[in-house]
Amino acid sequence: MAESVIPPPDPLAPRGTPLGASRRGILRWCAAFVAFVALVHSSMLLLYVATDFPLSRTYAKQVNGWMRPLFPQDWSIFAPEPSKFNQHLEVRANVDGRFGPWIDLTAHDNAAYRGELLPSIEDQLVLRRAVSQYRSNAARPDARQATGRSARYLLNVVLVRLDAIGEEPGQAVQLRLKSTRIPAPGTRPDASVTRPRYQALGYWKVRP
Amino acid sequence: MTVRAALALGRDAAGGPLRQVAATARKLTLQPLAPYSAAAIRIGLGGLYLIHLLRESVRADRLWGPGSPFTADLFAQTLEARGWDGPFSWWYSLLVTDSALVFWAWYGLAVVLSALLMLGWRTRAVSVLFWFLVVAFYIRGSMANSGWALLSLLFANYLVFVASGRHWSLDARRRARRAQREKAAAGSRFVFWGEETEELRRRLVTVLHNGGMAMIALQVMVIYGSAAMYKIQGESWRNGTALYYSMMYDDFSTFPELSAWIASHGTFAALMAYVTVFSQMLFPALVFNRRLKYCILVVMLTTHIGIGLLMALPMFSAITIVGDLVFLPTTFWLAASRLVRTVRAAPEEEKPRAPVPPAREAADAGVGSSA
Repeated sequence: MAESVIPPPDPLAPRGTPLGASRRGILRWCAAFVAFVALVHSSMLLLYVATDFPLSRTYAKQVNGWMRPLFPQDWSIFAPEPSKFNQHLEVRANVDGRFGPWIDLTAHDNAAYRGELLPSIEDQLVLRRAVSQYRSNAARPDARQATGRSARYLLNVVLVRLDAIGEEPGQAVQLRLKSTRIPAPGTRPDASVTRPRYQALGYWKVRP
Repeated sequence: MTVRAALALGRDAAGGPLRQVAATARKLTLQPLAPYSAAAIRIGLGGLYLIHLLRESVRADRLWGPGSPFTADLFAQTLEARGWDGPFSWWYSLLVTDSALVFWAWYGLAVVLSALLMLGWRTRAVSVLFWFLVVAFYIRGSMANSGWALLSLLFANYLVFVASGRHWSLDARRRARRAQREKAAAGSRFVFWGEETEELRRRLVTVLHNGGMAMIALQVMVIYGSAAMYKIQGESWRNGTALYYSMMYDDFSTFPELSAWIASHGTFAALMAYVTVFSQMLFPALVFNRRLKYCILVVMLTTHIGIGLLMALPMFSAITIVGDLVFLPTTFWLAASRLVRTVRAAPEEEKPRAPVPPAREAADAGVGSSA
């Protein structure tokens, strides 16, 4: 870079005029306090990120209390081991005792943002997050209440989607997950490999 | 050598580093670090949040508003389960309302504040109010917060402490005009308190600013460091197939044909996967070097633009690029703004009526290309 460029003087920067003893004391104490808070925050940040570090486990409660909810750090979502499956959420409605066809909601979402340079997070994230949250809660043995909440949230999301694409939810909806394996690189996709597998997620009454 | 001389030598050797520490501490109270980077981050964050709010305005009702599937009832239960129903719960549930009017009033205020933050009008007060609303939006949307939302929250937190309105802002323009007027009126300056207290205030502001900038820098390094740590735990990042699977994953592809084309070139995809991992791993170390800094920042810029375009994550890419700007030195910004001025001046000589980009956009140029 050009070293010859000299920054113009900042009219609001300290002028460097000497301070009297009392004001110098105030400055020292305040500067020490800022440095202390910065040090504490940096340590908390590093402990919070390093979840498996022994110190982090010992002080998990204090660290959580400091960092949440203003300084969340969920960086695992940026560095995922990419899934080897394409997973789609499918729903069918029970209208007056009769099931309608399966509707692929994920495909609707994906079609909505294809070719779009600035996609909406509603098309991109809401459904996927709701499904993964429900599944991870359902996998936990002792999380009745959390599962109840994430199930209700998932159902609400599905109902909003059905409403948006103009489908009748009926009296109850059934959800399933369609998983299609992505063929390993360099292999010819084989019908037995890429055939989708289905997993039932649940069957919920729709409250009017 | 006498004992006295030896002692004096030892004292000098021990005093050297101590004196250096004292000199650095003194400098941190006198000189605001990277004020142009702070301004660039302010413009980037405010501008991106404005774009975000305008883009999502058609969906806002279902994302944060009364029509959200994350109903007021579920929200209250979640707040309680996380233990956040303490003294700040009114703030966290600011946007939870049945009234569309109240919701849209907050939304409109957020739009206005983002624009004002970008322009740098009463910067400090606006950045505090902006932060206040960003927190409310983040917690209201906590069922579906993207990486972009996470990063904008973190930078909004730290920006409160930073003197980001010193340059490229309406505040700076107003100050410059007033200074000119006062020069003409031969010094009719109004000082609220004594000269010495004013100097103390300025030094305290400088200390806070430097703390905030240091936190932004640490935060960016933590992001890259932990992203790299998570990646090297994954099998597919080690054997280089991660990019292939990411490209074939149909939840993250703006242009499926383009992604499939990249996935079909195995060696290239594997190479790019390694470049991604190593650049993230080495980032926290390389930004300390005056020259290598630019290399790593260019690599980051390129990978972020690629991610933003191909994997449908433009806002996330843009905000990480804005975060990277914290590492650019003042000399860079001055050279860049001089370049912009030269480029602006040149066409004006040929065509006096050519549209002229404002100088402010120099800081945004890197962001705009992927936003």
